[in-house]
Amino acid sequence: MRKSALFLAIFILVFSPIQIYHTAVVSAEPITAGVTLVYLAGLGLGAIGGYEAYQHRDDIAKGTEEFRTNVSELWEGQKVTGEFIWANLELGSQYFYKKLAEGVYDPAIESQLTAELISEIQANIQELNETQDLERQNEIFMQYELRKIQALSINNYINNPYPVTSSIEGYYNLNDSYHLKIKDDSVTQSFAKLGNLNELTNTSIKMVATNEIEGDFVYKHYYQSFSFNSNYYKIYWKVKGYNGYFTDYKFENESINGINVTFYKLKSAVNSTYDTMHYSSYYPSHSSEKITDNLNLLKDALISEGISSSYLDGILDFGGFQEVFNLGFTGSKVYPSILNTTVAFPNLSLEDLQSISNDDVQGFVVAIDDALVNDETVDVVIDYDGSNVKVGDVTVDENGNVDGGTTNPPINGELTETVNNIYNEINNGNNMDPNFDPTMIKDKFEEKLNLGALKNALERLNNINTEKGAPPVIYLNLNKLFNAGTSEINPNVQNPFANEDTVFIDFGILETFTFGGYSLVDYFRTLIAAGFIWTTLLYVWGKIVPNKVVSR
Amino acid sequence: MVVINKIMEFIIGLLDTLLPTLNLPDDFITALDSGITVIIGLLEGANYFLPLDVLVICFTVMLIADNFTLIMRIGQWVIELVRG
Repeated sequence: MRKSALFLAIFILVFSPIQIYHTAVVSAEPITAGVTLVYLAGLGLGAIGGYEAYQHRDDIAKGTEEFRTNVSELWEGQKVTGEFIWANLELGSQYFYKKLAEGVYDPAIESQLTAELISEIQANIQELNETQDLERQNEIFMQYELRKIQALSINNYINNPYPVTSSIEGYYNLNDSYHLKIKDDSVTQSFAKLGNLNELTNTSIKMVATNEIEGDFVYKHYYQSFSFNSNYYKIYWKVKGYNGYFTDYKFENESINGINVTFYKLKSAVNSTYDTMHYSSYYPSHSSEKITDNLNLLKDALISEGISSSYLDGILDFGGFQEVFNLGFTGSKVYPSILNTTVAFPNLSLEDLQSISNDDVQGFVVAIDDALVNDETVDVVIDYDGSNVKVGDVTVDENGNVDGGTTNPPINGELTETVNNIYNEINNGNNMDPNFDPTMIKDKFEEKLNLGALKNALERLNNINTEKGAPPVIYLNLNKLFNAGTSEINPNVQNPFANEDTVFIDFGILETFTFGGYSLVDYFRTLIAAGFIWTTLLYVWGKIVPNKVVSR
Repeated sequence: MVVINKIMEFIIGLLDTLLPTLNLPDDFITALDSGITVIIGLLEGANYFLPLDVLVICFTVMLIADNFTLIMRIGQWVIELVRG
């Protein structure tokens, strides 16, 4: 393998320039000579670069060694992962108690929860440090999450006059892979609709792969599913290649939402830090920046919630993390607004979502836009039968008129109501919270319209006229040319040209020479194509019927 | 330009899928984007003078004629693989 590669390299380096040079000298073609010159110049540059690298080989080795040291330090940082996470969780609980002390919650719950949480934390820190089982670590982590929700819902039950999700008593069944058991009837119903969580995430795919959390390497490949009841959404994240679920909650009740936001931020930051550290062993080059970023986000989120930075520094002083923290703290970023981005349709498969055409989406987006701006009424109908299969295509034009695919009469109403009705249709009669944010749907729809990373190239490719090529036009910017020529000698010379592109060569002029209805270029192309085809046929014929026998 | 268009579509589609997962800097992707756009423009310009589609097809035919035995062997191997 190595020998053949060496041979190939020698061949490319030695023989091809000789051949090109020979061709250039013998046939004296200017283009080939130019290619030779460029090739030789490239070889020269490569030689100079190699010589420079050889001269500075000590520095390069030193840099490599530094990089390795950094990576290994980060690797060692994984050992304090559990401690680190629990420090942060404790921090979250401190914030929780702070709110309790301010009288947001019933103080009667405080003592009870404090004892429970502290004993739980103490028991779990021990286990978390000992176990290397990621699944178990995540389990412990989620237990804590559930404890928080429990506390929040109990509090809400006391303080909120409206009916809420009372007495959620959940636990994670260790054998049954995070199956939630919930007492409340309405919650049980909505979960019964979703079925077993295992089944939900494995077979009846109700997930959409998205890129919602920016700047995190791991979450680029997650699937999410989504369920809701009258009070909060529970969102399960399945990270690819990882046997566990990450949960998140969004409370519709505003009084509780503000507090939940903090926990959400906290948990997201801790989660992503945790995952980054886990995955840093596989992707070392991503790790250091990500960890510092996540730590920054965590710190910012907590400082903005009124926790003193000195307290944070004390809490976060573990091993090398303080150093990493300080290093990365110079450039803080705005925390990505992830709260309003997670929406999926519980009873729709991915294929159903994909079957929604762009016209539908555009019409829908336009209608929602108009309604949001003008506060108008829109008519939108999406018709599903009982088996959650889309019956017909629906288009909604700018005036809100519905076209096609309707077996039911259009539903008139306010925007939220309309969206609500759509969701009711989609969810097969599931009760929808009237406070549901319609912009989330809009975002989700618009996401489908977005092109990927190479947007310009794809657009350019789509705009090409494949029937008949457009004559190319070459532009010149005389202003820039003049500047380039004079600025080094005398920058004060007045530039007589305007800073704009001038047509240098317009090959469209060739279209004016026509014979028999076809332009000159068309004849030229036809001739060349015939030549290509004729040469190919000759070549293939020469292969099939050789005119001399090769002796062995 | 149909064949070239399809080939470019395939390559760019592949890049478009793979690049965002590599966590490359945005500047690099933007530069790559504009670079590919320029290359597409050059191809379009060249296609005005030369029938690039025919050229690509002819080269493919020549390649197949040159390596006919190899391609047949690969085909046989695949058939045997499928047949079990």
